[in-house]
Amino acid sequence: MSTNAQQKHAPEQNGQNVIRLAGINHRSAPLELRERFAVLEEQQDSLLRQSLDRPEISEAVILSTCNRVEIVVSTPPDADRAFRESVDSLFEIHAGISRAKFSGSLYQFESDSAITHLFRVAAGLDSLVPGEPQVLGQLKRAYVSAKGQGATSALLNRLFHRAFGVAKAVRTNTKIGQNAVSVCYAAKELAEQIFGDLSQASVMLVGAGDTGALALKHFRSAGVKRFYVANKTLSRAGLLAETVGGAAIELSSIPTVLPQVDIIIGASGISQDAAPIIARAAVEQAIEARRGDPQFFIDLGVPRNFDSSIEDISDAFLYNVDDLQAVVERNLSSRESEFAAAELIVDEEVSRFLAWLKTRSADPSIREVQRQYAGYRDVEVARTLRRLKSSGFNEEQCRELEAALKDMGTALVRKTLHQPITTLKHSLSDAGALDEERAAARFRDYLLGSGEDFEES
Amino acid sequence: MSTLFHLFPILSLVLYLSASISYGRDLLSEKRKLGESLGREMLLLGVALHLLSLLFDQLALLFFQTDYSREFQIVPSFPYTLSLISCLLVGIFLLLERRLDLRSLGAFVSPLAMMFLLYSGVLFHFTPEERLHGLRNDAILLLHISLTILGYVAFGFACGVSLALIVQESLLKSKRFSLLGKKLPSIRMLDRLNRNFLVGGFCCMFSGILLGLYFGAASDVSILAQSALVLGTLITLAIYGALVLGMLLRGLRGSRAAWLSIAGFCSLLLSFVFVHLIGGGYHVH
Repeated sequence: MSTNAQQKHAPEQNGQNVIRLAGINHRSAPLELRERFAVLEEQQDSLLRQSLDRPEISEAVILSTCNRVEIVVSTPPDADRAFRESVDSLFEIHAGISRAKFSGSLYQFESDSAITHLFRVAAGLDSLVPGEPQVLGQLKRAYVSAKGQGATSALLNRLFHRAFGVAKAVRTNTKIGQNAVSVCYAAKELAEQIFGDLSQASVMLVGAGDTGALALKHFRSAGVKRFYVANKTLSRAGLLAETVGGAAIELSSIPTVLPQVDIIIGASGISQDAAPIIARAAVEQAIEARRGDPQFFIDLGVPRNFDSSIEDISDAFLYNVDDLQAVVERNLSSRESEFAAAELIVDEEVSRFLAWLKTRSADPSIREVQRQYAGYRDVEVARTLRRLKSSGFNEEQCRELEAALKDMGTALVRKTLHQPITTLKHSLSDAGALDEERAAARFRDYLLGSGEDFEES
Repeated sequence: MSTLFHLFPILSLVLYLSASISYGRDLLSEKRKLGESLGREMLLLGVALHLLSLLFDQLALLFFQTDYSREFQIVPSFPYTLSLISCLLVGIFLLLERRLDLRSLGAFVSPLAMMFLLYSGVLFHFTPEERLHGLRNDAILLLHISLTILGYVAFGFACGVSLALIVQESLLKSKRFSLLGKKLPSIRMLDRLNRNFLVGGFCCMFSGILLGLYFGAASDVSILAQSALVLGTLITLAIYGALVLGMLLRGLRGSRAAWLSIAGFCSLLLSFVFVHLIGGGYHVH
């Protein structure tokens, strides 16, 4: 795949490509549909490969979190319909449901709207809990994974790096992330409604991923002292448990430990068809053993980790990610002012990125000019060396001087071209599509003369 | 002067009502914080006036004693008992409120205290002699009365706490995340309070009734003459006994225990009213 992708991603070929984004999220699709769409870590490479096998997709990054599954690609400008067809087909195969069932929930953006959406996602503005930081980590991992597979090139590389920069700017310049707002924080608030002071409570985490780790962090800061981490891989559970001074257990030990814990967090990736990690019968037994002392189940996993009928058990409280929507809505009102400031940052960054995209149309011209000037430099260095040799310099002295002359020539070329290139890029960022070509042509003609070649001169 | 003291319970009633509204507003309003209104201050003033009026009643009996009242125990009458329960409910709540961070429970306890006071007939005038029952001074009798009154107060608290627990649990079960849920104490705290009040109340009530039976037997008071009292008390005690046993032995908790606690208190009130108003013997005013 790597070779094909790199051939596809040659800058000259995708220079005029368009950024497109398609997916579903917590606003557009219910949990049941998101569960079908969820892309597990082990499925990510295969889906990425299938995407890149489509002729119209040059680059691709797939993001899959509890609340969204999105694919960001670069395609030729006229590939709108082909991209939609590809996305429908990819998700149809992946989710195992007909496109009619999800077409109403699937959104698609291109160019500036796609960039705005991605920047908003990175900054946590499109999250269930605004300003939550996990999505940025998930986005970074999705990008690193795609890059590792050779699925990204100049355009998406630049886009994602900018997205990470936007997220940082939003967090630094606004208070949107200061109140530790996240799904985990909301879960902690609910736990306090059930148990009050959490210093006497115990927590069991199922799964050892980042979301779970963040949840543990929240509960530890709330005063919880007893932790258990259950995971398929005991060593991973051990590493995480160590950070909070807890104990690592195997998944098979959950029913034994269950009666001893107050709060159970599910944050494990399981397949859609797999049985829930904690079944109703186990909870009923645990509640009986606890003599009615309540238990709080926080299911952060998609697909869900816990049997949904647990919520029917008296003294058991079950919340999944969708249930936390109410918490978000309550927080939203108090964050409106911060939201507006964050949106401004995003808008500015989108404009900046769009300006950069426009300047990319001049890249071939700039590269041509740079190549020509490098040629002038080499010709002049060779001419100077010939003169030096004729005036008595030996071979060794000439070799030493050649390196120094080349460096000087390179510096002169760079300084000579700096201002024209900056002016060109500046004028291109405000120009229309037609003006871009004219401006690039004028730049090339002005610096190179009308087609005059350096070798002829 | 006497008229002034008779106005105090009415003022207390108005203050309890205002406190109920204030606590309720603080609890239900999304924009208000707990304790933002003057609910606590109103309760403090109300309970001070209430206490003064209760003291005045007792002092009036001492100052205006007849030969009859000198010889006989000043046994609290039905309205006086209700008024005392109301005063104790508010007083104990004010003592516990800050220590256990139970401000939100003011919205449940204040109306309860107000209802007791209203029902105690503050709007009617009772002469001191009307409070006498013709029973001779006796320590066991006083202990019987004190313990049963404390039992009533504890069960009253358990009822208020149970109401809060049911609201909190239904909010969490229905997944309606609102500020109301955040303002109420946690389920675990409410459950513990409910259990403690129920166990404490049951011990007080049970020992109070045993002392009452002992006093009756020692004073040659026929139990059969108190049949209405015995029946009502037995039903109530059976409910509370089952509840306490269920809690201690079978782990009965949460909303189920809360509903039983409310049912027990309703039964207690019914038997109380029935015994005092309809029944015969020494428990009528």
